[in-house]
Amino acid sequence: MMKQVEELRELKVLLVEDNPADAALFEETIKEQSLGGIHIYMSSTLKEALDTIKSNQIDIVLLDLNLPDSRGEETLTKLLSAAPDVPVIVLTSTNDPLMGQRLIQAGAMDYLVKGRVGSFITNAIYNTAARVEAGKKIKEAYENLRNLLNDSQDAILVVNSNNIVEFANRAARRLFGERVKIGEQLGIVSNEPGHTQELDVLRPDGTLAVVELYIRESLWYGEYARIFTFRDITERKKAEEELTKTKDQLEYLFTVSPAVVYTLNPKNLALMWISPNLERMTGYTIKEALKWGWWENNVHPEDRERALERRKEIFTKSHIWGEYRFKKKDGEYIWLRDELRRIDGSQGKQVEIVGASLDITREHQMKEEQQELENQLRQVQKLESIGRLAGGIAHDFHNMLNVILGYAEICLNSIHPQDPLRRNVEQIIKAARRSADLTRQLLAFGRKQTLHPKVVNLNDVIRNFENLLRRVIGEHIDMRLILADNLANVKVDPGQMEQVIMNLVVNARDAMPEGGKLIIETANVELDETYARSHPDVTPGKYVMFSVTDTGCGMDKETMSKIFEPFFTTKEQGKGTGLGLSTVYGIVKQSGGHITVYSEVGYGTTFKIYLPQVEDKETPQPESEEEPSIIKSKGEHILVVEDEDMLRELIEEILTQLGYEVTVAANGGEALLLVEEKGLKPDLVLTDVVMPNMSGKDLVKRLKKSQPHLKVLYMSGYSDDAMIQQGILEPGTAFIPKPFTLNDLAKKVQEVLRGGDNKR
Amino acid sequence: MSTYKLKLYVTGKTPRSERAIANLRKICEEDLGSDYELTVIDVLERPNLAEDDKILATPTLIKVLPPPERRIIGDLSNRKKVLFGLDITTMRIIERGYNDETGGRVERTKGLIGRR
Repeated sequence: MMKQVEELRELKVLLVEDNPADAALFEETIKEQSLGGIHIYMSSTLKEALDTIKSNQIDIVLLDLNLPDSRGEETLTKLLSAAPDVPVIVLTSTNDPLMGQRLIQAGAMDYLVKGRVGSFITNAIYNTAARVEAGKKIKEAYENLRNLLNDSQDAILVVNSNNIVEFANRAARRLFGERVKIGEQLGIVSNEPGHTQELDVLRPDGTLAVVELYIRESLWYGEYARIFTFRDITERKKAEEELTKTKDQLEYLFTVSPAVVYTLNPKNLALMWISPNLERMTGYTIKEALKWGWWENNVHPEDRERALERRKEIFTKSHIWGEYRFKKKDGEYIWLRDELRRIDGSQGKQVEIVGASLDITREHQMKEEQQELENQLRQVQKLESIGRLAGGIAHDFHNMLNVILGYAEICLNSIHPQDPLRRNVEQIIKAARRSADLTRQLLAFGRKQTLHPKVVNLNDVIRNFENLLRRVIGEHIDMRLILADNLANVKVDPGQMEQVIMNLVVNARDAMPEGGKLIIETANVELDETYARSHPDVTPGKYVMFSVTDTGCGMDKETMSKIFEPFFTTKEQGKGTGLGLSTVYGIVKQSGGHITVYSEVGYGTTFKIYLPQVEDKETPQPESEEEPSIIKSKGEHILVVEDEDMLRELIEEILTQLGYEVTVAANGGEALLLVEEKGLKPDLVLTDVVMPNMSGKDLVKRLKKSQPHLKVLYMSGYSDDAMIQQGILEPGTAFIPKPFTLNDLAKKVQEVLRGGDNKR
Repeated sequence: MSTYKLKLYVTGKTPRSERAIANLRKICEEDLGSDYELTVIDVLERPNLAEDDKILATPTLIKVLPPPERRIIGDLSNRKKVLFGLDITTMRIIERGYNDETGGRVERTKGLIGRR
């Protein structure tokens, strides 16, 4: 209030009054009431008044309407049009309320009726001054408001009730350009006040903006108005869209990526988030995975501890990885490769642990397959090199043994039958023959044997051999043949194949001392690329498979890896040479075949031999056609002279089976006794060449004396060439080299019995 | 001659444009039956039309007929607000059972329109 009074002291009031008495009265009253705070200027005409206003910065004008140069209400209009900013209080002599209203409408601040003015005049001056002051303040306030609005980044439009734009800030002018003009109509919008949704705006430069509109109802300079605020959210929208795009891309990546990505709680390593492709990899849903202990419970028990320890290393390292087996929902285990990375936030805050798991089951399998393959290759190579070594040595050995044998025989022939030295030489011969046997097996293993391949059907070979096999294995073993119909032919040396079968069967028998089952099986099989890839010594193609399975003691892997090596044996000292399976291996390999062994300790063993099939058009050779003639022996009588017990028994067995009448003798003496003393009259004598005491040749010489037409067939471990060259046998002598097959023997015996006359 | 003649201004194929078109088509079909004529105008293709209609921002829906002209902006996702804003058939909405709660709203809308 005090301040106002002080300011009022400086008020300059112009009194426009042509009546001097009135003027004096007003002046005196004002002066008295304002205590000299109002300075009064006087004018008696309108013209004078306007001059005074111009030159004296008049604050308020007291205006009498009736002046010498202007009368009535016109006086006010004239004054205001010449000095529009000056506040005017009208002094009138008539008390007419309608006129008063008109005066206010025309711009007067107040009006006073003369004669009733009294003390009101000073009040009126003060009131008007205060109102003018307040008006200035409001104007200033709006000015400030406009400045503030102009500074705003949001585009702001103020529109009055007639939709005329009252105000547009700088941002609005930038956003809308010429489309928004102060004082012009704005497109009517009937939206309710409040937030509306996002809108597109085409900026004057042709670029697009996304805005958010807020409409507020308000007063503007005292009038109803609506304020439109447009917030430019183009950048935010773009960022949002980018984010959505990135999110979509990530989501897509997670669905196509082979790796499952996740984050772990950096404090307790609990799973916090995991990508949705988890389900494809493991069958578990995200919800299941987020349950406490899900991961730990599904890691393979054998890998669990290691995997857990490994994970904990993330507390001290920034990056770790590990591999372990993980159980899928269907119970199957897969190999996972897990990588964890610790991301330390700024200032050591907000540590994050992110991880990725990759299914590496296939790689693991491949690695294992690769390892298996390498093992097999090593095995094959080892056998190969041992075979070469053994074969090389055996070959030379065999030749030298032949020499030893030859000379030993010659020696024996020139020693008197009663000479005690004979026994020594006979021992030399015996040992040399055993050695020759061994070297022959080594030769077989080393694939240095001469094979006589023929097209045969393995089923026939086995059937012809069946009875003999049954004898060999004994009655405590149940032997079964499962032979495929339409079995394809193979081209092998039948004698060698018999040896292979015999060796495998004998092994099977020895594995089942308490009895069991022995199954011999044949089948047509095709070994494909996949099989060949995992078996380095196999060429893909059609094969005849032949297997021998026993239900014996089986063997461990260690043993299995060595069984084909020569001189490796699990049998007691002296019971096996360790060459049986080596021979089998050599023969199979030399025949272009392939052999596998599968064994389970305590359950048994299966040997499978694969021999390449031959074209259908190659029919098995006569062998089986001759069979009837062999079997249909006429019951001829054969005397077998052989000092090797086992061999003698074997031959007896064979010949008996073939329907011959057989008499055996262990040496020349025994044979002579049977023929000369007991009157035995055999049709044929089958004798070993080299025997103790009396050689086969000598025996025959003696026998021929009493039975000149006796037919003779010699047998020996040496080739007939060697025998003849060394003069032991004469050319043209019937001879069968050992070892011989059943068929060889049968054929040869028939041959000698039928056409024996010219073979002397 | 349809009772309702509507113009919808959009800008290109922005998400807002597409939403508005879809929303409006739905409202038209459900509330106006076949008694309307709708023109969709792309301000990028027809800048002159947009200028004549003093279009500041899109989507802007203008009800040309029946008079008085009404405008509403936004993606038109709130069916009730669209109908109120355009002063279209409040009767229809009441018939549809919005009477209780929306009675007041109808008044408010009328009040707002009345002030213009």
